[in-house]
Amino acid sequence: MSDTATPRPESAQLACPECGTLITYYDVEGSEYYACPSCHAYFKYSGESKPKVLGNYKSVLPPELGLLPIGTTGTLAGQPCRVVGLVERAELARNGKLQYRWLEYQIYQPVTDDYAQLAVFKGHWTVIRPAKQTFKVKSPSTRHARIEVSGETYKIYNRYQSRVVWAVGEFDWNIEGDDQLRFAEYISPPTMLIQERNKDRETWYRAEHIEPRAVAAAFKIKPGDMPAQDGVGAVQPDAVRATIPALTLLTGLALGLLLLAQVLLINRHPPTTLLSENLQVVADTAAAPGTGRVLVSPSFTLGHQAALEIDLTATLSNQWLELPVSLVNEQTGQGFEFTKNIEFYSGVESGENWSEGSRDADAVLAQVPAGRYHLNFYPFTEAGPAAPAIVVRVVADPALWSNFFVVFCLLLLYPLYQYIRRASHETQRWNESDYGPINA
Amino acid sequence: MLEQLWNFLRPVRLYALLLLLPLGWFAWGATTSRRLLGDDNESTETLNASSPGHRGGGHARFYHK
Repeated sequence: MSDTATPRPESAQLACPECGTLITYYDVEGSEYYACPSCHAYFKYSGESKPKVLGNYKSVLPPELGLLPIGTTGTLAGQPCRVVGLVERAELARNGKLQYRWLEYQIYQPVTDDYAQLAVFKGHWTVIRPAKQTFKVKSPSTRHARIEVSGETYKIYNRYQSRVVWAVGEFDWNIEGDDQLRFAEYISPPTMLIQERNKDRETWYRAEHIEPRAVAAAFKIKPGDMPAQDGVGAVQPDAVRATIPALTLLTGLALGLLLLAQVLLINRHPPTTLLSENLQVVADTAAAPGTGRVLVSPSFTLGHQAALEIDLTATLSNQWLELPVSLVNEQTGQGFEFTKNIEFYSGVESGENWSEGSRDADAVLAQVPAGRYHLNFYPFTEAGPAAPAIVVRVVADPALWSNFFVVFCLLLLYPLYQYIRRASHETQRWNESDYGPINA
Repeated sequence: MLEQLWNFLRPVRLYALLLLLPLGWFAWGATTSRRLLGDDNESTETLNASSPGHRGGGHARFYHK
């Protein structure tokens, strides 16, 4: 049988009925409509009768054709293929004007004798093939229209009519006949289901997102020559989404580990009060007004190198207190210093009690070596009001919660960044749609 | 099970390494009794307090018992 079969020619030529240019076409048996690359006439030629000119695209500025010229060969999804046609389409707005232009490359696969389309809009590519089935749309006339297939929900993304703006190459159907079709796009990234319907028929297509570098590899184009992407494609998958479960688990583990470490630290060296003392400020009559005599606390012993927390409470009443404090190692003379300004004011105004400031202050000294210590206080307060008393408490190994919270926040930084990226991705995707949650 | 966990975490393995930085910083603060954002010590003598320095400067010179 195979001996008698006539091999299908790889290509054939026909002359343009307008300008006579020889046009090479590749789907020798299937193609019937042609757009001349020279004079841009659009005509029908079925091989039996004289070509019939249907229109012309010469008045339209052609799109950039350098990327995938007609005749370019490649390998798409493992199948050898060739670019045989290109259509520039635009969405027909309600006011009759054209908006949102995109390109559709007609890809012929000679081995299987079928077609795919490569559509590109703002640098985002999709491969479109016949779905070979129909889908049931729920709430079809509403903005909540959706399709549920195999556990996936495809949400309505766009409804439109389109117009052919420009075309070149060969086609196995009348591309101008699409003017009467209404399209509805339902998305579940990276897949889109496209409903194409008119009064008589309904056809479904399945579009899959394809990365520009995959298109470049399929047709041996330099990846750098691909058009730059603008925004997020309708079915462009979110790269972050796939990492979210692992990211969540890992962050949870890290936070758990941090909490466990903090608890173990507190248990290993529980906070210990080394000193609790009440000191009375006494004015130094020999010094400038407001200067208090130096106060010296009782000695206390720190058994190991640790952080010290010094809590101060002053019995202030509508006054301020400047309190330089020295922690002195009685054996080595090593000193630590800090100054606290404490002020507290209160009163009654228009029957309302008010207060400002605080009577409390605290300081943390880190890496204090083991040894015997005392505290020196050099109080200075405003002259006049009663001299305050100072309650001082020294705690060794305080729970440094600030360390915990600093690291806690650091651990959340990257997940937060990814969360924002993900939210931004979806927002950008739906910004191009009239049916997004933001436009609801 | 460990292999499954490893495969699950594989997409974020670089982040896993990155996590070691803040956790290590926390451990360093804990073992050296430091407050990570700095403490309240103003003494130039003991700003680097891990080794006892020479005496001198500030109020610490005064009122030794």
